[in-house]
Amino acid sequence: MWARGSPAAIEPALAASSLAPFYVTTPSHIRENGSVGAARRSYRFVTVIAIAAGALSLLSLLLYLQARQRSQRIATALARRMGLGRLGDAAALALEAGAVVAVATGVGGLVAVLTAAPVIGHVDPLPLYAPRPVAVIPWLTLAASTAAATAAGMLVGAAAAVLAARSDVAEALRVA
Amino acid sequence: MPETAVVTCRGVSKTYVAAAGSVEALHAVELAVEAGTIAALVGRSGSGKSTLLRLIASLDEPDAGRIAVLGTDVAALRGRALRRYRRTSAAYVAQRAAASLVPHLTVREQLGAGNAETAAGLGLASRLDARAEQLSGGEQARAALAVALARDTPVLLLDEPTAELDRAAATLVIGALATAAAEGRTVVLTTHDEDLLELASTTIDLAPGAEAPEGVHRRATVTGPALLEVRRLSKAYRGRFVVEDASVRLGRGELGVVLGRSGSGKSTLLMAIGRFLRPDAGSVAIAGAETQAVPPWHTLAYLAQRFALLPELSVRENVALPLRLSGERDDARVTALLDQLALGELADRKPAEISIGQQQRAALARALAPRPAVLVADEPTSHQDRASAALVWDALSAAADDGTACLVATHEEAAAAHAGRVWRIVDGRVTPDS
Repeated sequence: MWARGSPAAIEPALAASSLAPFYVTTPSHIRENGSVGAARRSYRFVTVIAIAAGALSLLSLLLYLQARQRSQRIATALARRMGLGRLGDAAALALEAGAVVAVATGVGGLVAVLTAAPVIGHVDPLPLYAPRPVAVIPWLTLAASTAAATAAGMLVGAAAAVLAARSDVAEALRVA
Repeated sequence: MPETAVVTCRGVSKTYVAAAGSVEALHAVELAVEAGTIAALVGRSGSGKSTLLRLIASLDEPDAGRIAVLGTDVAALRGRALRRYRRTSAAYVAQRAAASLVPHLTVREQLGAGNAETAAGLGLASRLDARAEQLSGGEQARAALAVALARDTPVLLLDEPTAELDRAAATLVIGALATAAAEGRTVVLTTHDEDLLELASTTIDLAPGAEAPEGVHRRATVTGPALLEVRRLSKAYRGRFVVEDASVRLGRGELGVVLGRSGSGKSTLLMAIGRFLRPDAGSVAIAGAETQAVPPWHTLAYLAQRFALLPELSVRENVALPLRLSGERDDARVTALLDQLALGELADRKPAEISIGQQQRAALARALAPRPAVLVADEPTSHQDRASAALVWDALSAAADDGTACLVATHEEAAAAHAGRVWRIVDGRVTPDS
């Protein structure tokens, strides 16, 4: 039986009822349980890994954009002379970077959901007590993080285009 | 096939499969190269010369046939054996020499201890402490060859080793290769260079029958208002003049050539004309107007030594790009240019799926597409065989007939025969050729 409220008020009420409870516990008891504490630390560790993975992905994106900018700075400079506008140039790179990030985040989220499903039943810190672990997919968080990552990717892409426009094309042409 | 051959190819075929269709780069090629000799692979641009060299270097695998180097079937090599083969048996230098060098290491670092003399013999004594990315194209070509020679492998595989070199630098390379062969090393190279071909003991034509057209039509000098006028232009780097007091004048429909050695200041002059760099003194006027602004493509089109085709677009889309970006559409013009430069069959391929020579012609077609007032071309035939170079000169002549003022910088003396005006550039000083 689940009850919401102060344990001090609920326990006497339960004792006086005809239910005759033989074991009463509270959320603070559960949280103090060693197995639950270990599981919580594991999840915190996984969160730190996820943040590190995100930072690594951002670094990879920056390196990708830098490599792309280096390899295509002459092509970009020539395209600008052919009529490619500054906005169009920045928008193209922003869309490319944004698409890369959006697809990567989307695929990552999908893989996370698919791999969590078969694993969730095996990570119950208190297997003797109900309820069984419940899978809750944080759709809103997933959508928000995808949107935020895509926006960050687009911003970085646009910034890369601006920096590329300022790079020394003559130097690139000279070492051709 | 002689049993003493160091490099043998038997029935080697290679077909590239791309989204636009498959291309048979090589068909049943037979080849045997003896120890201590130089074999030259020749043929028109796109005939598979570079492909064969890459197969021998084991950078790619043949679809059929067998390639043996020093008795080893190179296609069967894997892992450590493959790395050992590339490191100790066959040194390969790519057509884009920069690809064979580590950009942020100096020439001396890449040569290794005790090998500085190899580079000095190729005219790089003063550039030993320069990083590869700081070298000019010609210097990179010689540095890459020096590194390959320093590795002391019994086999050298060189893709167009003199393509970007003037005669003096090419002579140094030819001398170094003659010495290498005399020392017993086997050299397989691709080339269009007549002097290098003379040195080769074997010549293998991968596309027999493709002869260069006879005769050259020299353009007349045109008098009239100048479309391109360069007045007393100077540019210095670190206090040293790379271009000094240069004046060049071209009218509508004129084709001019600036002749000069590698490092003489040709590219710097062209970059200043194209507003890729700001000159220290002097002016550039296009169609009578002096401007500091970057000229649009239809006013001044530029063919650089690095072609900078967009890799995601097909050859046709690349050529049509200047028209598309300026809101025009002229499919007939694009098709005509592609056909004129023998690129019609390759129109739907991506730049990475065609040879460097073909990429260079595609870049020229892209430059010419919007009928620019002025075309500036830096070494437009550096990666072309004789027949393809003739196509390039024909395209430039046709552009001039169309009214474009074409200025070409090159180290090839033969280019003077095509031009109405010729200048020579020596240590940055430009003088009209008598």
